[in-house]
Amino acid sequence: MAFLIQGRIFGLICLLFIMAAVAYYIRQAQGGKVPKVRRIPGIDAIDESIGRAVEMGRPVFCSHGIATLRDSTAGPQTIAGLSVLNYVAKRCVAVGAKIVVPVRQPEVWPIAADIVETEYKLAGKAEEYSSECVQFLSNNQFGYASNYIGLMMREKPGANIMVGAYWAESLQLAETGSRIGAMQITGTAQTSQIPFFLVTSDYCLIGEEIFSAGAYLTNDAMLIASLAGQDVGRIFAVILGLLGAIVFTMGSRIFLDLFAM
Amino acid sequence: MTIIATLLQVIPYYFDIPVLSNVASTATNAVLLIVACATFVGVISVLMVHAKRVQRRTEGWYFSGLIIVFVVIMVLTGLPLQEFGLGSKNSIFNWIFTNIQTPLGGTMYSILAFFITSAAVRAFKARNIEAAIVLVSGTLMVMGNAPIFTNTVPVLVDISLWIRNIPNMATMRGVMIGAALGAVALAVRTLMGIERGYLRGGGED
Amino acid sequence: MSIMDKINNLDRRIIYLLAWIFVLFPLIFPLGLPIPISSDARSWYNFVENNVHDGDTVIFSLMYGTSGMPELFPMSVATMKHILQKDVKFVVLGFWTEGPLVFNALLRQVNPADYGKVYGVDWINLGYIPGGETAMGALATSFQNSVAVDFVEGRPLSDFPIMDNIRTATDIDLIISFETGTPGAPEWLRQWNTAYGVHIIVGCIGVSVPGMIPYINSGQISALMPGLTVSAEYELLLNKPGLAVAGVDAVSTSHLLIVLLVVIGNLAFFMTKEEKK
Repeated sequence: MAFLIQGRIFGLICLLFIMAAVAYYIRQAQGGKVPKVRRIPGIDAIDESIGRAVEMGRPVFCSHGIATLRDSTAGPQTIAGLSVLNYVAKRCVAVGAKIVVPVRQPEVWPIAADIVETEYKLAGKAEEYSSECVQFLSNNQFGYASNYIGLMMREKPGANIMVGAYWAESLQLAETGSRIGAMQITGTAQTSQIPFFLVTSDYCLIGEEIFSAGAYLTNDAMLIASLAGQDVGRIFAVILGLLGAIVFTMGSRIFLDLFAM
Repeated sequence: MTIIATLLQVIPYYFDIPVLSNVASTATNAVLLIVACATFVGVISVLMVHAKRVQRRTEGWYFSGLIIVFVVIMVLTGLPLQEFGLGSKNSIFNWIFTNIQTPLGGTMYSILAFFITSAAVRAFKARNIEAAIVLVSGTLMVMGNAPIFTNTVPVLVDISLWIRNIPNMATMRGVMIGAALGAVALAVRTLMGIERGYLRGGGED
Repeated sequence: MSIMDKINNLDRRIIYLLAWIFVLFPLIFPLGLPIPISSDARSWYNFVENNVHDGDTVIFSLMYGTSGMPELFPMSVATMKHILQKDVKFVVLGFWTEGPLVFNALLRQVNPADYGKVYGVDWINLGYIPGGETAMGALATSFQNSVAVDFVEGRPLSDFPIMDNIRTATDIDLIISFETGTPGAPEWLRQWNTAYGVHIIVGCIGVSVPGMIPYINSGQISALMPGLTVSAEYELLLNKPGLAVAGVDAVSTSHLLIVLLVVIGNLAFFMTKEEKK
């Protein structure tokens, strides 16, 4: 007989609550009431950066981070990066820009290659696709970074789009991109790397903005509606935090016991 | 398939169903095996790309040759065949790791010192109020971490600790919670099958 | 172009050259600057001194590779020297592929045998455990199911007396983790601290420190060693100056360069702004 695992019940309640909120807003969207999403300048600038690269006759570099898909915190960032890659590949194919996708994780490489190749095929330009545009560089963090830097110095991209999970190599890559004059759009939820991206890139997506990128770029009503559901979860977290702080200050452990349920 | 695979991992996390737990565990092990095989895909890709460059004699083809040589040496000497003297205790493997990879890794990490310096010089300019706040707090943090300053002005330590423990902590908490919620929402979208951006041809114009 | 304009648009290569000089000079000609002891160093020292008791079992985890060695290796060596002074059992393991190689380098600096520790009785090296956070969770439920053989001799864990009383996370009193990224402290916290209440102290690089502070504030991490400067202070508290003390002068001069360049850069920025007006 199934029963709930102790210590995870409140987490399950929160998950179900967020799912219910997402389902509600999707239902609303299907009825025509699509929520408005605030502008995220960094995501809006992706088209501009691709256009700039085309005008300059330079390639577009688009990387999705250096994490695997299996990490509990970095995996979602890689998925977000792949969603951005999907859009960037679509736009590059449409405007005839050369796209280069440096990859670190061998398990992600086939997925990235598939995304780019499919966009070429959907646009009827299958013969223009080259397997060399999605390059597995190295599994080693700094082997990847040095290879990426070398690629940027040689190819001199007009746009460098880096959305995903990055660690110490983030500053190296972004600084090199800044040095060669590429327009840079970066984004990560790695708190230690956000400051580096902020100071070296033209646009930076901070934290959870990268998870919204896929929905924002596709302009799909259901995905946009799911952002509203996500915000309901955020409001719930804020209310819990505030109430918890007040109640705990008054000496009651009721919220701590609730979270540990 | 995505929905089924996701539910297979999520349900055993919250519900104690031994059958599902075993299936989820087997699925996780299968994923690890697939990922292990993917490692070979990466090596093969590197060899193919660089072999093409050597064949076509493109610019810098000799570097590609060097890569191929080292990949082959490390793969062969690192094979887990202790009885043939190969593996992590092999002298060639260890020599290359200790005398080439280790210094190169340290060098790449050390490059950050130069990049941080040049990025700080560019970024720490008081163009507006926000930039001025970044400038002042950043400079105080840098000074608070260097004995050359903290010896002469001990209060710098207290100031940098205050910046670290109060405004920084509040910001970090907000960003971490926000990022976690974003990841949860992405996972929910994946669970519900509506996030398909990472799948081929996902989304529409 | 005036001098202020030139400073305002200073070539990066000049900045790199200055950084190289400012870092290299104190390494060749040590300045011997006095090092004030901070509260972070005292907290770490006091925790290891007062909260690690004889008879405790400690996990000593090197979660970094060769690239993180310049900043984390000194604190790893110093902490190892500190816990070897106590009558504790320790298990060396890690979830980073290069962790065992880093530990081999540490053994060349600190030999447990010199402190009377016998391998297999007082300490054991389980090496690299693949699988990231999943492996950390699995290890917490059963050491014997997660690790087949030890790293040094390749023998089953049942051959070693130390493992007779180490089966799950509840048998561990403290985790000492040195790390540069993921997997790291958040994973330890989720799988060991939250689930089993195991105390954790973390040594990390400077860049990771802001992200660790919420955990320190909530008490989830009991002590933090943030970077090379605090490592040097810790070495002085231990009365065993080593690699960190040798390198901290370079930290000082590099920070001095940043402050000088920022000040001069801002002066140039404002003066060129005035000129343009």
